[in-house]
Order: sequence, then C-alpha cells, then structure tokens
Amino acid sequence: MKVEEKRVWLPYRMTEPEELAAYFEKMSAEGWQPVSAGRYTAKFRKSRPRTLRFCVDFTPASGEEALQRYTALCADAGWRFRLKARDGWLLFSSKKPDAAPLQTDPKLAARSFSRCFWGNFTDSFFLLLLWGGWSLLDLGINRREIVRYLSGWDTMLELCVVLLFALVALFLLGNAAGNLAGYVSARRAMKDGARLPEISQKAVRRRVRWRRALAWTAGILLAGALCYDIWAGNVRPAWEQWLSMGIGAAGIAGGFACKRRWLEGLARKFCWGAGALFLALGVLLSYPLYRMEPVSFGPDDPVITVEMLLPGAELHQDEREYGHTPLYERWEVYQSGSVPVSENLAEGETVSFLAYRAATEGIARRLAWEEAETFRSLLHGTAVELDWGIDEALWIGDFYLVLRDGEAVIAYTDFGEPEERRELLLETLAKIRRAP
Amino acid sequence: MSREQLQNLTEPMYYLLLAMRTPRHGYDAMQFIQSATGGRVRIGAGTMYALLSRFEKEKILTPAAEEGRRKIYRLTPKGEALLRGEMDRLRMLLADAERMEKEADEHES
Repeated sequence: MKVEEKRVWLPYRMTEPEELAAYFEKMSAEGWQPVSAGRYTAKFRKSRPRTLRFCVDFTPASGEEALQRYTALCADAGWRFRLKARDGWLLFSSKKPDAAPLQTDPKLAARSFSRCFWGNFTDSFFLLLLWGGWSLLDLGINRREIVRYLSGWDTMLELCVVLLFALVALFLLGNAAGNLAGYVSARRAMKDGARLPEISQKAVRRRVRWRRALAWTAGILLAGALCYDIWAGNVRPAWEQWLSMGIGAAGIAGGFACKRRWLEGLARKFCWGAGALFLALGVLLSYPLYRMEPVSFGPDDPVITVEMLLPGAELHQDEREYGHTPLYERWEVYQSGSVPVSENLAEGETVSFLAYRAATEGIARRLAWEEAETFRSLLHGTAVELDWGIDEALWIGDFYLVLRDGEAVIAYTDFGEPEERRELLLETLAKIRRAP
Repeated sequence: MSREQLQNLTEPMYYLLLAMRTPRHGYDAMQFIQSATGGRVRIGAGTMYALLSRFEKEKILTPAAEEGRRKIYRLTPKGEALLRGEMDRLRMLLADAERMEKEADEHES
C-alpha cells in the first residue's frame, strides 16, 4: 500500500498551543495524521479522516526514560502520545471527547511552558549569533588571507550565501520578537487560568506567506548563483569532483524516487546515505589545498633570485581586483610578456610566487586552469600560457620571496608538510632554472 | 512554583500526598483522588507527572517499585511530616473559622 506523506508549514507557534492543537484536529478530520514537527514545518501521513481531540503539552520530560514514563501515564489517562516537536512541545491525541485535560494546575502549566519556551528561545539566539558572526567574516571585515581562504566569497554562490545569512538572520529576529510577544501574553493568561489570546487568521496567513517566500527566495538565489558561477567559470570543479558530486546528487534524487515500502525504507536510506557521502567527498577532494604549514629557509639555503627563476622578470607594485574580492595593494613579478606570476599579500617588500602542490592530478589540472584563467582575465587580449605543466603542479608549493639588497630571495613557503616541502621546493626550483 | 510554596500545599498536592499514604502509581493516584473527592478534584496527567517529579526531587515521595514503565511511589517520613503539618494547619483553619463564626453569632444575638 502506498504511503502518502506531506510536509507543510506550521501556521502556529508554540506560544499558541490552543490554535496549534485545533490545527492538528482539523488536519486529522481531513485525513492527515501528524508524523513529526520541526520548528516551522510538520509532516503528515494520509489516513482515513478521524475526529480526535489534540493537546499541545509542555511538560519537561527530558530523556527517553522520562518521556516514556510520562507518555505511559498519559496513555493511562486516555491521551496517546503522537510526537515531540523540535521546539520541545509534546503532542497528544485522545479519542475520548471528555478526557481530563493534561494540565489542571494553571501555575504548573505556566511554569512548564516557560521552561520549554526559554530553552528554545536561547537556542535560536545562539544560532543567530553564530550566523551573524560568520556573515561578518564573509563580508570581509577580516581580510587576512587565512580568513579569506576559509570564508572568502570569490564566487557568486558564496556571496548569495552571505545575503541569505542576512535574510535568515532578519527572519529569525522577527520570529524571535513574535515569539517573545506571544510568550508574554500566553504566560500571563496561563497563570491566571484564562483563555489564551486569539490570533487573527490574517496574521497567520501573512506569517505562512513570508516563510514560503523566504524558502523560495533561498532556493532560487542559490540555484541561480550556482548556475551563474558555472557559466562564468567561477566554479570549476575537477572532473573527479563533478563525478563524485554527480553520483551524490543522483543518489539523493534516487532516494526520493524509492518507495518507502522497499526493504522497509532501507533502499531509500541507503540512497540518501551514499548520496550524502559522495557529495561530501566531492567537496573534500579540494581540502588538501587549504593546508597551510610554514617552512623556514635559513641563511645556508641557496639564494635564488627572481631573475634566476624567471629570466626577464620585472618587479611591479600595483593595485588590482582579484575575482570578487575588494581591491588591495600588492606586488607582482612580471615575466616577459607581462604575465604576473607572483603577488604580495603581506606588507613591505615580501612578494609571493604563486604555484601549487595539488593532492591529486585532477586538482592540479584545475589549479593550472584557474591560474591561466585568472591571468587571462587580468590581461585582456593577451595569450597566456603557464610555465609549468601538470607534473610540476602536482607538487609545487606557494612560497614567498623577500627583497634583500634589491634582489628577491626565497623566505619561506607555507603549503604542505614542512620537511617534505622544503626538499621538494628546492628540487623544483632547480628544475625550473634548468628549463629554457 | 517556588520552594516556599511547599509550606502551604495546593489542593492537588494535598490530595496527592493523601493518596500516596498507600503506595500507588500516578494513574492510580489520579483515579483515587477523583473518586475520593466525588469527582470534585481531577488531576491531569501532565500536572500529576510534574507533581510526582517535584516530590521525588524534594524527597517527599520515593519510588517503591516499578511495574513496566509505571513507577509506584510511597510517602517518605519527610512527606508524612509535611502531610501531617498540612492537616494540622487545615484543622486549625477550620477551628478558627468555627470559633469566629460562633463569636459572631453570639455578638449578633
């Protein structure tokens, strides 16, 4: 038998327990039984229409054992436990229209309600702080390079995520304010044993419309940004990453296509699990690029000049835009043909030579391509060819040069394992010097 | 509910302590109270659970046995003292009320 389920926006908040219960009663009468409830949505399963009495309860039965004891007591009293919502409230239903209410002491009920409300309110507030902080980082308040590596927004997708953070933060703030106002009036009424204030249907419809609009905006914005990035070449995954993410996406889509009854839902879970694993793998394949471990070069190390590395190179100071990041001052080493091959991200006389050690050939290929694309975008109409091949890109590191007595010498490198990097770097520099 | 409130028990608390002079589980106590008061006092399952948890924490009740997921509670010596104190207080209240009523009647006559 086909199980039909649907997820809907919950039109009421936990501060409106009577309306919430009435909503579940209405859904039950229409043939939809609750399965689970999140903070903003609830999942229902199709059944025959049933007239049931529902009750939203806030008794703090924390832990599995306490919850079982409490629900057993409620079952004895004629109330069947249906679900525990993400917000902490419990939903019960009863076939008996005259079953004694779960809460008969208004003061105790108000106290339980308070505990449940504040527990979740502080949760949301913490989340809001976290998201706010991350958004600030992403907006480039801290422009140190390591932060840009971790949270930079060189792509439209990342920029859209920042915008969405701001939208979600606004939504959470508005929701928190509404919850707080609802809490104050509900608690006052509960303490007095009075009827809770009624909510206008207009306000409820507006609330649901806003939530739906936010979800659609987020989806369209993210999908649009991703398409733009792929079209504009801002996101250029290696083919291994495309493959891994493709398998992941297919797995997740396949999970939705699987019927719940197949192997008791195991087929669906397997598809989703494998899909998530491959998606994560696709993202993680680029992880080794972000390992940064400094390697120092001492006075006994050979002095290698820019001239030795790149015959005909010139040193320039310039201000440029890189991708979507703001303008900043940097030093560049120009090879003949005006191809910038290094830039300064620190202050003073230090310049850095851009090269990479990639963990896999796929990533190396992507890096080489990205580097060439960057140069091409900076130097319109100029033919750009990289002066290293895939083999070199597999292990070349990012190293810094210091101007000493008018000559640029190697100071340190900051990718990869320190000892391994140092040896490899010196070896490769020797190779580059030998190259015509 | 603050700690001080236990000095004067609410009606559900009082009846719960009365019910627990015989070891019972929560639902048994609910039924006992309802029938003992002729349906005047009904304690909901949520309220009963909160009271039992509170009394257990305050060592007024203690678990005596378990029947599946049901816990059977009984009064502790502290609970008995609390109940006796409350009964004495209520007796005094009633005695005061009767005495004052009698005095008022005498004054009128």
